[in-house]
Formats: sequence, C-alpha cells, structure tokens
Amino acid sequence: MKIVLLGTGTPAPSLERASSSYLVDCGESVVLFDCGPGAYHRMMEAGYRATDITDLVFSHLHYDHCLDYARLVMTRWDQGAGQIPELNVYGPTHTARMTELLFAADGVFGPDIEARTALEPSVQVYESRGGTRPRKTPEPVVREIASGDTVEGNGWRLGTVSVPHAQPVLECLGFRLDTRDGTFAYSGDAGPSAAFARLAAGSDVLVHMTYQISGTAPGPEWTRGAAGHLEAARVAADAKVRTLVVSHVSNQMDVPGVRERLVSEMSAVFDGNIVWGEDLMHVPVGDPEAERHTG
Amino acid sequence: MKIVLLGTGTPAPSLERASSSYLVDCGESVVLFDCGPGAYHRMMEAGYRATEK
Repeated sequence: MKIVLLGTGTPAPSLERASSSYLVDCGESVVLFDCGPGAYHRMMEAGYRATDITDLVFSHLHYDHCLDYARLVMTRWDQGAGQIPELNVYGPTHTARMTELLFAADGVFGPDIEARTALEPSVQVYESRGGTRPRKTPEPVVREIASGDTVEGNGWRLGTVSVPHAQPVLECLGFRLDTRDGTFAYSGDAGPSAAFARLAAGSDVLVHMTYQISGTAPGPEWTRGAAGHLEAARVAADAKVRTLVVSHVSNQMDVPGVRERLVSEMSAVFDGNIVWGEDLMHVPVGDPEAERHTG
Repeated sequence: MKIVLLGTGTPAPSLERASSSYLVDCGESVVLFDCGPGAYHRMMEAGYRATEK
C-alpha cells in the first residue's frame, strides 16, 4: 500500500497546497479520497494517470473536496477509450445527483459527450486510442454511503462514520480503509469525534483535518466542526494510531517556526509519529525509522 | 493589453500544456477565453487571481 498526499490545503487558492485529495495505491486498485481543485494536477505530478484510478471516495461535497471530479471523469473516459471499467464512486447523499447533473445527457457535459460520441472526427480519435464502436458515454458507478456502512473493494474494505463539520446541510463522513498491507484512516473535514476515533482505532496512518491553532477559533461552533492541532492530536492518541498526518493546513499554521511549535505541542498529547503533510508526500505505512537512509 | 497563453494543449493530460485558455488583460478588465482543465493552475502561476480587477 502506498499513500500519497495530493492536496493538503484548504479552499484558499495556492500553488503550494492543492485542495483536499489523498491517493491510496493498493496494487490491484487505486483509491482516491476526495478530488478537490488542484488534485488532478498533483495526481499527474505523482506519476498517476486518470485511467489508473479505480475508486473515488468523497468525504463530503464542499467544493474544495470535489471540484476536480469532472476533470477526472471526463479525462478518464476520453483516455480510457472504452478499454477500462467505469470509475466506482462512493460518497454521501447528493453524490448521485451531482454525477447526474454533470454527466447525464441533459447535464453540464451532455452536449460535449454527445459531440464526442456522435461526430466522426471525435470517434476516429477514440478509435485511434483503441476504442471500438459504438462509443459509450461516461457512467461512473455511484454508490451513496451513510454512517456505519461498509464497502468491499478490490483489495480493500472501507468503513465509514458521520463526522461533525457542515451538517445538517452537508453530510460529512470519515473513513477507515483496511488493506492487507495496513490501514489508512481519513477524518474528512471534521471536528473532534469519539465515534471517528473508534473507527480509526489502531490505524497505521491517520490523515486528520488540522485547520487552526487550537484556541484561536472564532467560537465553539467552529471548533465543533474543524479540529485544531491539539484536537487532532487527541483523536490520534485516543485512536492509538501509528502516524498522524497534519493536513487541510491553513495559512495561519503554515509558517516556519510556528509549525514546529505546533508539532511539539501535539507530541505532548500524542506520542506516535507526527507528519506535517505536504503535497506529493509519500507517507510511510510502517515505522518511519525503517525508511531512514544511512550515509 | 497583455496576452498570456495559459493553456496551449489538447484534451490529452499534460503537465507541460494545460487545456485551452487564453488571458487578455485590458487594464480595466481581464478577459479569459476558455477555461480548460489546468487553466486555473496556470492562471495562478501567471500571477492572476480568480478575483482579478
């Protein structure tokens, strides 16, 4: 299992931190968690193609977690040329509707899809890529999931639980992905959650939203739905994970000197490994010491 | 007037050439022609923001 951080940022536009996206390469399948703006660019930089992605999991449908969905689906469809299975998509309520609104015949890309499947030059391009007639339209296989659901995939099992963030308008989910090589957990966007800590218990790698310096949030409503650095560390300690990855990093925290202080404070709460997430970082699944270079 | 080529590529995914997008900075307004995948990234690299002018 390989874990690559594609987007460790927020909705704020940034060339350094793309919005949320994490790639888990299980060998026989490649699972993408969220697909925020900039994720596709980072995916290419990480050496993956749209056609490599087999499964996409949405934590919630804030745009910084799903804006590159259309780019992924359309490119995967175009480059896949009918030679690969449809993309499996899992996400909370509205995921199916969003997909229909984007890719159905009367959707956002309906006219483009019709042009590319009906006009001879486009079909010839498709054939040049190995496609055979008739050219199908893109039809991601969507399964909407809810708190407590379990999904079995090719080489993985996904568990999910509702996490506090943008309810009741948007349902927000946290995840646990078990593979034969280890367990990845992802909070999605979330405040501290005992239910999520139970789901993530014993994970090798936990990516947890760490949005602000604890104690600086404008009010308690904010803190309930967005973890600060000490809340994220507490969840990691409660879940007894091996490694905590700080992600969804805001400008406030992303300052040399400040981030080192925050990690130091977090380590007083959580005695495992703490990784300050950066885009394109490969996070060790096992003991980071084992990956240490000598000489 | 400044003309900046943001995306000079095709639908084929590329780190070198983003899909179609061209920016024309008229001073009092900034006009974007097309906005293909990768254009936003190039717009940021070119020093423009979504909120420009």
